[in-house]
Amino acid sequence: MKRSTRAILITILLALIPTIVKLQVMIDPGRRQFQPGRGVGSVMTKVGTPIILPSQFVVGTVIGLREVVAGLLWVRVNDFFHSGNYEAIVPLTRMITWLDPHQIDVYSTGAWHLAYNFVDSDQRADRRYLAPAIKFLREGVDNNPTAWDPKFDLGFVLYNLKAQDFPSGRYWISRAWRENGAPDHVHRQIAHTYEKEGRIEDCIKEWKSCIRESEAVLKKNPKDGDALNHLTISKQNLDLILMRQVLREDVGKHPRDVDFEATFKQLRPRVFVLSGRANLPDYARIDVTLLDEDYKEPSPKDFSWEVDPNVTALVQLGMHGMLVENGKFQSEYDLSKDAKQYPFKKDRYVLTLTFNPRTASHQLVQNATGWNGEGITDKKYLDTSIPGLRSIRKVIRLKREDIM
Amino acid sequence: MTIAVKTEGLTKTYRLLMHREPVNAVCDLDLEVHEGEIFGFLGPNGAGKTTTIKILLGLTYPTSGKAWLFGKPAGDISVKREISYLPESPYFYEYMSGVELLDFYARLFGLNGHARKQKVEDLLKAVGLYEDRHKPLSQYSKGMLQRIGIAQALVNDPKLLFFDEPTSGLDPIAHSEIRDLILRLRDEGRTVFLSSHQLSDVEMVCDRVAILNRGRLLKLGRLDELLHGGSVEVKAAGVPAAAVEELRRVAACVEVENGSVTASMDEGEAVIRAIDIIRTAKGRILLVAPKRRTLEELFMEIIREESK
Amino acid sequence: MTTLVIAKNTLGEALRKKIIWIFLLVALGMIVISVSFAFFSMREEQTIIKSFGLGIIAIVGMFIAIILGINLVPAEIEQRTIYTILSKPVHRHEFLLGKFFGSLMTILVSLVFMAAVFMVTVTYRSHWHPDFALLKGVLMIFFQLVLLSSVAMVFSVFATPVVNFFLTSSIYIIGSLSDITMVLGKSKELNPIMKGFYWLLHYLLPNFANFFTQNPLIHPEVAIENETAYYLKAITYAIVYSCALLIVAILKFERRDM
Repeated sequence: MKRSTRAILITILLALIPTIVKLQVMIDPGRRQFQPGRGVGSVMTKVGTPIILPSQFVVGTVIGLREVVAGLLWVRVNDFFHSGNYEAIVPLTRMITWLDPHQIDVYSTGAWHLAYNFVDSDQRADRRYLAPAIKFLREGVDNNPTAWDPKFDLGFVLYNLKAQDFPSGRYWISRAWRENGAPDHVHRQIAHTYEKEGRIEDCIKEWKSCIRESEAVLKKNPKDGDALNHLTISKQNLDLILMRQVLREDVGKHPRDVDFEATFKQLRPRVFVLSGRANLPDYARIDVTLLDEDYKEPSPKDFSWEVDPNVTALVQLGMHGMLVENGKFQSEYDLSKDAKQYPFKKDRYVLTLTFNPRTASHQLVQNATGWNGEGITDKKYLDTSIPGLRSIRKVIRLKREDIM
Repeated sequence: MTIAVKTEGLTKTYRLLMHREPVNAVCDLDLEVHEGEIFGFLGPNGAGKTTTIKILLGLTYPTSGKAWLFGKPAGDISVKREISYLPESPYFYEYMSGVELLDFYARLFGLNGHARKQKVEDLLKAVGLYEDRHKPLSQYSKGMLQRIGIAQALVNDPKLLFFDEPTSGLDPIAHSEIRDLILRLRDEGRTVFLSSHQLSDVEMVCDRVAILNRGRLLKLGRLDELLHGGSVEVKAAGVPAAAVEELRRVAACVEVENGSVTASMDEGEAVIRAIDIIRTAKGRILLVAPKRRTLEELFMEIIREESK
Repeated sequence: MTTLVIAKNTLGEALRKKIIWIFLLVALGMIVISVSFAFFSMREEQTIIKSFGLGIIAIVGMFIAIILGINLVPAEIEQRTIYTILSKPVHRHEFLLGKFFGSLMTILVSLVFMAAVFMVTVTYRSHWHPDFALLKGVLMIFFQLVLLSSVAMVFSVFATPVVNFFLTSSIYIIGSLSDITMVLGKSKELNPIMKGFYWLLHYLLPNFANFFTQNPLIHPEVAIENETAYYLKAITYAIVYSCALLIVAILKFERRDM
């Protein structure tokens, strides 16, 4: 090679070096979008922080395979799910979303596991895990702002079904409905949630809206199966609501006296019986909550699956409440086998038994009580503290020795 | 006379990490190869033959000194169109067939289309591999590999060919064929630079030789001149013992075997004196001829002298 | 022209190496096997298949690039095939570039093969709705491997295959760790020398992490700003950096004794 050629090549090489640096400077800001999640680098924000990932994750994330590692972990989670090893699932789901925060199904499944699968010996879910479940899904929403699924799961699975906080549920389901790609059933859930809130007129408006939008789609494409399905179901539900309206027209004229009474009786330490009477149709349910006197629904600011071991919260709502048969209800609670879930560390507790007509079965109970309890009354325990709602509520204050 | 290869003070020194002393592979080599001759390049293992050839081909760079091929610096791209190289025990791409290999090399010379195809076919026929042209080289015998190697060396009709141990590992028939080929090449006006340990082959084909050892040139010259040692051999029969003793005083070497005496001596006065001794002793002179060494003898002699 | 001849020869030789085909068959097996995992939903299935598929293409591609690259020059010298080539009117840089482009052609063929199987698998499992956007991921993998091959080529000019393997792999790992080097290069807590060291690592070593763009392809709901611009910058980076490395390789190779 001639000297001049060599010199030219060296000159070009020296010119390329700053070009390479400049290109990398231009690329760096955009890289974050493609490599979401708190990868290996994020733990180095504080110098000296050790890398906390297990080695196999480090290898995977190092060579850009975080999605593969996340996928493999997810396959593992499915195995644990099928074998009932729920304890192992939650840390794995956390790890997966740490690696790849766009794994939407992982948020949904992880939150569901938190809310539903930490149970006592009688399959009662541990209420303390609801806050982390909500927080986990909120994270899923924040990391996937245009996805409808995590919003819907947050609204329907957690707020509606689990917490029975229907206003919050409706808020999130409505947000899900506004996203691209949300299926029709999301819109229908808004209508259902209005009904659960006792807002019947709003419920009817929403069903009509469902009908209009499905008709608009069918006008353009009469063979659209989804639109046809949406139309059929919406019409059926609207008919049902209208029919119920008629059926329950007069339900408030002669409200029945529920004559509610309930007692707490300890059988032995941590074992007690709740029993009572209620002049309600069979299959009505009495919600039961037994909480520390100073219990506050935790604000899901920080995620941790390490719940407060000193908090006691037994919550049975809706379909999980005590069944009323022949005007009576009774249930034995043996909490002796689940000391971890029910630590009873505090001195005082509040036991609340409630009949909420909004969550009652439609045909069997609500036809008699009305959506909002128009058809019931009680001399001692009628509760009208929630505007528009007439429920039955008895509070029993207990001391620790009453239970232990 | 055109000079095909010329070196001046050619030196190659290797500095190896683990050795304190640098290794002189080639040391101050001056030689010339004339166009149209077969030039033998000899030396024991490690003498610097292959290093020299690599420098001439531009595969290795000299530490100092210069080398030219047909007046152009060694390694110059344009001169590589005129030369070719058959390395020792050549390896080729085993997955290729004979025709694919030659086609590949022909493309490197820029031969295109029909000309290339024809050339490849002619070469395969010339080296007797036309029937096996589609076989992969992994199935070729050593002799066949050598022949395909020669074929690739002829792809560009070179003026100068470098052959490094072309007969290594071949049977006697193949040896003979290679020798004939080398002679044919010279007859066609090409120059052959032959590096070989097979001294008998070199002796049969080469015009001039150079002998190297430890990187240094020990001998260079026409073969017949080098082998003609300047001594004469006189053979006689019926020489009595006393005359034999007299012969020992004038001859360098006297051997008696089966009644005949063979005396070797420098040419000139000593020969006349020896003849006189035999005739005076009534002996019968059978032969008076100049003594010719073999190349092997010359080679061993030179190497031994150099070692001292 | 000579470069192309050598490139084609390199491609032909590489495609006859058993190890390349073993890697490819393993890759195919793993891509196809990903459909056998149990899933809760179709989206999960698509996520797993896409992430596995792209991940496997990337890993196998990386191994192929390294195996080819580390042997580019040493094999020719060891087998002495280089002598019969460089003794012909072939410039050293033509030989080197020919080997390099031949290696790239082999990588491209391998990627096309794996990508075809991958796309068929994904399309089949999505009820024959092909997602051609996934090919962007394969494109990024290709340019990442162009850069990786250049690194291997530089080392192949003077290092043995074993040493080259470790050198190239190490550079690949460090270059993939640019999350860390980026953060530490800007850290206020480090002393200036260490900070400078990480800065140099981040900006001077080849940044393979630039090409990890599979996340939005696996999760189509994720919106990316200025995606085309990013791709163009990353590809330009690969080409420019590779040119620089090839120049280094050529300069080194020109002076090498065979």
